[in-house]
Amino acid sequence: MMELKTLKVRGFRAYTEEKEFTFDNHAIFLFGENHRGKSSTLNAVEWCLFGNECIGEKTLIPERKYWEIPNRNIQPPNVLVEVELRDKETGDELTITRKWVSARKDELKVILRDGELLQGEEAQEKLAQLLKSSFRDFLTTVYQHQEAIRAILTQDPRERNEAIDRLLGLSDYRNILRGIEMAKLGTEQKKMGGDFDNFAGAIDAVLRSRENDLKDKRVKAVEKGLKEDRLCEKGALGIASEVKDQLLKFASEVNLSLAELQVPEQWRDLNGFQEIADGEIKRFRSEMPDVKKQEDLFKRQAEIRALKEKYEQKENDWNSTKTKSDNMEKESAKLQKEVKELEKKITEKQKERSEMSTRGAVITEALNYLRLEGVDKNTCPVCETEKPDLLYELEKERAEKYEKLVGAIQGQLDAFNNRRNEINTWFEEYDSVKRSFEGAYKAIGQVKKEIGEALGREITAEDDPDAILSNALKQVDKKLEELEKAVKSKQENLDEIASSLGKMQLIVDILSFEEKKRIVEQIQQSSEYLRLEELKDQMAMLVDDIEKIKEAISEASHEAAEQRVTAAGRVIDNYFHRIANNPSISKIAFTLKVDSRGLNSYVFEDQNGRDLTPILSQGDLNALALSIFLGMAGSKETKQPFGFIILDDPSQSLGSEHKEKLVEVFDEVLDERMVILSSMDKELQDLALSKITKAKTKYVFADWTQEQGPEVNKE
Amino acid sequence: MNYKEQVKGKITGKGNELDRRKKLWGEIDNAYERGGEGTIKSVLIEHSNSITMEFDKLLKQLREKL
Repeated sequence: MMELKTLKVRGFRAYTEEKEFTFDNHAIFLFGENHRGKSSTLNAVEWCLFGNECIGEKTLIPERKYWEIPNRNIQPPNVLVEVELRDKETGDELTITRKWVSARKDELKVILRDGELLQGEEAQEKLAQLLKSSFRDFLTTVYQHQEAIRAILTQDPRERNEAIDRLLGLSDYRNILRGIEMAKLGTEQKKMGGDFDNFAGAIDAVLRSRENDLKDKRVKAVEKGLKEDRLCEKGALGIASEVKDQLLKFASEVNLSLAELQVPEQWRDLNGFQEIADGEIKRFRSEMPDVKKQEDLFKRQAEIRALKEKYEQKENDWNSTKTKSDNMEKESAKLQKEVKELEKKITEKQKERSEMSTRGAVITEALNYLRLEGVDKNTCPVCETEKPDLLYELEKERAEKYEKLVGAIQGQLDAFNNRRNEINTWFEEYDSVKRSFEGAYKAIGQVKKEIGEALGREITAEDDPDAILSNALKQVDKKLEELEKAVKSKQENLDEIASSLGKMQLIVDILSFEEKKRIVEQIQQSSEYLRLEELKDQMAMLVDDIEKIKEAISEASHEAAEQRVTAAGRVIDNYFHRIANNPSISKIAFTLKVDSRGLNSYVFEDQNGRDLTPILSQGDLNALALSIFLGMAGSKETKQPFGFIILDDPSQSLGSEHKEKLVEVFDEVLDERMVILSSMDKELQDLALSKITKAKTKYVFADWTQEQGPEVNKE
Repeated sequence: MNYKEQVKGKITGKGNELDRRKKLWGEIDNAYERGGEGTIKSVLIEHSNSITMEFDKLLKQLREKL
């Protein structure tokens, strides 16, 4: 066990100037009021041993989250802490010096007994070897920090169990288990197993798919008349050879050439063969002479049909205009005669109207004269006949006779003119019909000329173009019918060749699927796949080995815990009764179980088997925590690397009686370990000084100034 | 008996299996002695990586073949 020998502090938190402490007795007291530098002194020991491990959120101490190491009054920072340790058993001494460089960096030096100086990582490694403790171990087993008390009494079983494991000196088991769990090998193995299973599943799926494809293709092959013994490379190449012969023969028959077409030696090259053969079949279908002839005849047939249709149309036009023209010609003579008569009547009526107009004008003149001359109006100036109301009668006669008569003549004239206009319009239409007739006649002539050109002969007036065209069409149809039979036969021939090619392709597909299936099967048998399986098993074996090791660690930890609990249980019970002196608790049962993760689980129960923690007062709880802490620290069964414990203000919530008993317990603990007690409690200080029977060293923290830091006096 | 021996004594297995586990325990313990929990994690991950890296490489090759 390592004991503290000296401590040197400079520039660390409350410290400015360098101060040195000698731990020359087992009982070390740091007494003084608050804010005098006591805690900084204890913290300096922590920082020297563990560096940045004791800073930050990970420590689970709230005030450590933004902890500052350098004293703010020293610029630039000049922080150095040196701790001298001595191995109680061997007497070996060790000097550890830590110098602050920055918030993230410090310089560590370790000087061994023989004077060997270690620095940096080497020093860090050596320190870890010698102390065999993490900061968390130190916090729960050496430094009785209020957080350690809380960890022991927490309602969170995990945190409590871990704290007690550390108190019992079983940190190694727990740390190793944590280290193993951090590697997460189980997760890795699960992933690997999943990857392997997925891949194996993918192989099976591909194989099933290939087998189904093969089955389908074989069924199709049988349906197409292929026998089982032809479903092989030889069969496919044989069909290719037959196809080539058939194409050569066909080409020869239709007088066409065949492109370069080689039957390959391997079935894998048959795709190229098929591509060329397919192309040639398509070419033959369109280029064979009979098809060409057929195409020409179809064109000829369409041409004659169009001419026939055109001729029939023009002939219809001509016939209809001729009929109309003939009919109108007959009508025209009659209408010409009617026009002459009408013109005569119009002349006569115009003359009659003119005469009537003249006579009327004379009478009007005469009447005007008689009125003007004042002639007796009842005597006619011509015949001197006496006539009553002569002027009135004459006026009436003129109006009735001449105006009425002129109106009637004009009505007749209008009727004659209208009829004449109608006839003129008819004649205009007649002229139009005659022109259409002439046009239709010319059009027929043009079509006849076209027919003549198309048929290569002259079409005379005696010929019937329609009949000639019908005959020509019949001849074309007959030739087409003959050709169709020939072409059909050749197309059927090509169909057969194409069908053979299809069979060949079917065999190629079967061979291709078989090959793909073989490749997948080969994957399963390949050395890579076997190695993959082997690696998966290796990983499973590693995880299994780890599980067995974890079980062994858990069992060994449990066994060790049981021994120590048995031993410390009595001490804890004893300490608690003495410190708390609670009459309602006659016995504390400190028992051990194993939790679901194989870790130690501790239970504190009263004499009635009930959990103690919820029923104790704050003072009792503190007494219980101190009892556990001191019971473990004082127990010979627990194995701690440190031969000292640090108690920082342990009398919180304790009454006078509690304090007195606590000091008595300290006195017993001092038989096993050095006790560094820091307190501002005057009552506890006095009790410690008077009741502790071992040699004591007392440091009084009298004052603190910004410039000089703590004023410390050794007494 | 220290914890190393205690754990070693509790490890079960037959023949080679037991030897292998004890050897692995030795490695874990050495790692812990050297650098604590983090070093155990590193050593075990190294063990695992020696398997997984080859596994992943082979799996990639075989997937490409498939």
